[in-house]
Amino acid sequence: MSVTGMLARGGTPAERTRTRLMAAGTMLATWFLFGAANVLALRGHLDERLGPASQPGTRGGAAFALVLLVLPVAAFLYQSSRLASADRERRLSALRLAGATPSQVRLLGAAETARAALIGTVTGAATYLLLQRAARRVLLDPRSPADVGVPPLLCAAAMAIVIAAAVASGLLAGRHVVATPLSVTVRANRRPPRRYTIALLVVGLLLMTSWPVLPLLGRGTAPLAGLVLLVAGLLFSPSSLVWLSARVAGRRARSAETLLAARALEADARPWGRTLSVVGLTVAIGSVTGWFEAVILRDRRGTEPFWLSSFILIDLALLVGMAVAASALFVHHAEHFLERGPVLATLRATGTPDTALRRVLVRQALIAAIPVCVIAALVGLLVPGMRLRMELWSLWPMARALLMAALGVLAAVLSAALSRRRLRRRISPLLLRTE
Amino acid sequence: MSTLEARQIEKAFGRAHALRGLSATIEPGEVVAITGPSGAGKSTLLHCLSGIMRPETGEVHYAGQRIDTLDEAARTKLRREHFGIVFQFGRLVPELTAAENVALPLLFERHGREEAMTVARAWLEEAGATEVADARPPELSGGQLQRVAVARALVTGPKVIFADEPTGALDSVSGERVLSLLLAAARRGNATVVIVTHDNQVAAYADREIVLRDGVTMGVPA
Repeated sequence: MSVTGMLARGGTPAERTRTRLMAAGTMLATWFLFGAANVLALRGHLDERLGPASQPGTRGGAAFALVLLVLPVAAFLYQSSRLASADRERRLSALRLAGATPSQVRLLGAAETARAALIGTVTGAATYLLLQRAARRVLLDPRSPADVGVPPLLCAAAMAIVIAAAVASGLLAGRHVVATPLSVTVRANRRPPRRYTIALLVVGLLLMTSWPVLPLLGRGTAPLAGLVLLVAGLLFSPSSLVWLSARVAGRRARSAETLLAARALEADARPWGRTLSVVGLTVAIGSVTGWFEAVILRDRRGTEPFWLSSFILIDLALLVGMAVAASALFVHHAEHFLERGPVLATLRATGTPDTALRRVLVRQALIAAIPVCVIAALVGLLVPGMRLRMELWSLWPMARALLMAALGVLAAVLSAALSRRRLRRRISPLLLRTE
Repeated sequence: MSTLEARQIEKAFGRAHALRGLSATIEPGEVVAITGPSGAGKSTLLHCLSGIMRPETGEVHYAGQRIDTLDEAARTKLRREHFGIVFQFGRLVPELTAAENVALPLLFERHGREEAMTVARAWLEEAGATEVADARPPELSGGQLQRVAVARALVTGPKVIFADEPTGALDSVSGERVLSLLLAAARRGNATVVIVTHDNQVAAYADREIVLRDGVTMGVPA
């Protein structure tokens, strides 16, 4: 084996975890894309219990929803590829000492990510097709998605997209790590996030809700532009919202826990913002669906197999999206502990109780998630609501928006609470040693 | 009654034995330097005496109370209420301002924020670091970092101050300034000081020196 091969094979336990997480994420993305291809391959009217996948008219929407589920997976992959990236660069920087150029080292890093992604996509494809075959035997229904093969060309395209996205995500995650033959530094982006992204939400909301007062844009263009701005705002504003919320919380903090949580968030709002943008999008979509449910329930069609299945499938998809986004936050916590191990160990050594450090994690989650989820729920509630006649208003969409916001915050808090066990393991006194 | 006492303590990291049956006693108000070559077990001894680590065998006593048998929460409380600790490179929380870093131990003791910040600023003035009160650690020089770290260690009025290579990363002028500050404050508060160092000039400030080699004491140098 060559020296470069030996170096590339090594790695810390955290790096091995990253490889496993990347493989798991790409497997999940492959499932969702295969599912979407599978739905698109269906023909004619099928059993209504399949919900939106049963009718040709709604099938495109069902496939799109499955593709949308790749968004939280993308956030998860990005967070995973950041995990222990400094460790990897430190290992690969040894190659620089051996004479490799920076681009050769980057290529080797990309090859490592590609290998993990390849394992994930191949496993994903194989398990999907095996499960489909097993489902075909159990269901014995020739008119179910289990009986329709996924087009091979779409399969290959989906796998290629997933691998390429994973490699790109790995390269992006490593762009702040500067490796020279003698040292490795992680260049953190300490600039506050761009606050104009919040304006996207405001302008988008104005265009969507009060388009008649903007005749210059025309009746059709304004709502469409508003929708685009709102989606862009939901995706890009969370970093700024987290930063603003942390700044306010830091200034008003009365306890050490809140102060530590707020200041850490303020200094590094972007990873939280990236992951919470997916949580926020899920909350907004969940809130929008509240209106559809309200209309269907008002017409007493809620028990029809098509609608019942649709509601269940939509909620299931929202829960899956939320769970994957929360997993991405969990991975962010793991990276946070790796990066801040010595600081946390010092805090503990100087008398900070473990319970207080755990409370810091939960407060971080609350400070970050509350504004993002509340605003996302409001967007999901207001956008269709302002365009509907008042007689269609009911309590259900409001209750649903509240529930979605609470679920989003709960997902963030749960990911923090689950990370607390890792925290205890990460703050070893050995990190204090200078000898 | 001695302030700190280690009785036949042993500590290993995997196959490497850092301390091998070491015993040492530190009296109230004493300034003791723990010296020795790299890998002699100096920092490990400091970590065991301060309750950061537990020895595998042997006993550690503080003010007559055995502390190595206490659980993590009790040892953390002991460190917060009785000990002040200074590390090499300051080891401050990078996102907090210097004043917030100094105020942090008081906030953990549930003091109000305004009160904690007032006391922290007073200690920063004492440490000659008033001008950096609102700066964050990455903006500070090595000497400023250590002066803030000393202020953080002293802010709760500790009975014992542990310093692990407090001047190791500083030039001689900054090092001397940090050390003078630490010792003056300790003498005013009648605190015991335990300094780990491999610098003979730093050790010269101490009342007594404990020399370690391969995890055991080598006695007092002439």
